[in-house]
Amino acid sequence: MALESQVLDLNKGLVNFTHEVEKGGGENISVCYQCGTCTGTCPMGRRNTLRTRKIMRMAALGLKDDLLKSDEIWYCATCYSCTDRCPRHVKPTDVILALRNMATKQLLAPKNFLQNATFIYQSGHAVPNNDANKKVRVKLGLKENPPTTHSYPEYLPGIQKILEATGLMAIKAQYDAKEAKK
Amino acid sequence: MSTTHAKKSSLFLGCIAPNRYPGIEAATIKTAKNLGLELVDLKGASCCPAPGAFGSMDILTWEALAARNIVLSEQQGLNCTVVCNGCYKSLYDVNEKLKENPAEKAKVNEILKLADMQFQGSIEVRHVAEQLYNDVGIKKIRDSVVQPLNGIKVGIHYGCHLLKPGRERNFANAAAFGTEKPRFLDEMVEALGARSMDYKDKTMCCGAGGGVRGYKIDFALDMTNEKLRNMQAVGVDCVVDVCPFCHLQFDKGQAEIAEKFGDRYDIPVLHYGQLLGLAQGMSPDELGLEAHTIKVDTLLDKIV
Repeated sequence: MALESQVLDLNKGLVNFTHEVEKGGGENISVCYQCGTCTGTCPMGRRNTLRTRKIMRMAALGLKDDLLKSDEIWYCATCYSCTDRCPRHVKPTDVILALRNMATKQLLAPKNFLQNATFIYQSGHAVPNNDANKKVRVKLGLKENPPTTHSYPEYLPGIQKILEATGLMAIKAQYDAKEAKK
Repeated sequence: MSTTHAKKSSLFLGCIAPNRYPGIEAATIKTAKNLGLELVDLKGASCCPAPGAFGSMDILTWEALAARNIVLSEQQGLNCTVVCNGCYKSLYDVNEKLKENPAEKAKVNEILKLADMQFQGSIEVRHVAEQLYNDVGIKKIRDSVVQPLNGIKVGIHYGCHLLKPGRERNFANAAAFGTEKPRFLDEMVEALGARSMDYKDKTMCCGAGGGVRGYKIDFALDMTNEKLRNMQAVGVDCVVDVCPFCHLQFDKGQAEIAEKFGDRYDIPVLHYGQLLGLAQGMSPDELGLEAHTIKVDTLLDKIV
């Protein structure tokens, strides 16, 4: 961990990075008093190296690079138990989501996340219908396709425009280009 | 718009219910109708979009796509009913956030313009289980039972995103929806003649959320395995959930757990709508139970 340079640059880190995380939905990081309720309550950390309290401290210290490159920020199942129980009303789950948003912009998100964007772009669904399921639907007296974008594809262009306007599809394209180079 | 007593609402299906477990869709529509709730098609709806996947990549994309689904329901002039905790997180959270935060609403509406839409903030988003408890009520649910469930032992799985974080929820009868010891679903299960079993870490997550099922499936399944072990310890006959993603994680997950870890449970998994359907006298075929990975025959033998 490049702590030395971060300490020297602590004020800048707090002003920029921590504020950015807070703006991204992870409010009140600075009032965290490191009680450890988040880590203690985390069902995921019991089976791997996810340590929510450590992430909160690193976020407050402005340790941006270490956080965005860490694999652990992607282990959180977003159960919101830590957020629910935090005595300081910090929202660790939303801090982790804000960190993931920043990591995504740096093309550091795991592949499966970005694949969801492609599925929705193409079909409107992250989990599209398939032939086996169509048979079950018909047997149940339902239409082969649900009354979603699957039955009304004329709604797809609107969805595609939204995905393009927010820049997510551009990130996906950059990510794919980076993967192709590997 | 009257929000708490509206008997007609749009049905937001999401992805996993219609495209993997259509029995949940069929059961929800039929059982709700028996209780006086009319659920109508929400034409052109998409993925909510998945809060773990899209909230992780880009919050604004998550909000805009969720708002698009909400606007479809606004255009019908109807409140929106969901059958999934993940969909609830997306649609409820974004609906409330945009109602309360004019700057965020303006930002999202700027994007929605591209789809010729505008978010108004004129409807409510509800989960069908919460609607059944708060609007229909336990008495009516009990009165609709024609085939009492014979005291079968149920392991209730509440899931996460319907209830948590509690500070961002605002349910009627709030005590029954508490995050540490919720009880609305226990009451709804017991109203059908089944027994809700207490078990260790009952409110724990199934493990699938946040993109973990896609990224680190062993971590996700290890959590599911722990919950199944805790349920098996008190002898449950089935798992009952109110979320198709948890449902998939427990049902398909049991086959994956057997393959990866060698632990076998064979505990049938039902969405509350399917359990309610059995109690209302519907056949397993009508509820899509035969399409589940884990066979339900042993459970059915105990009921009839």
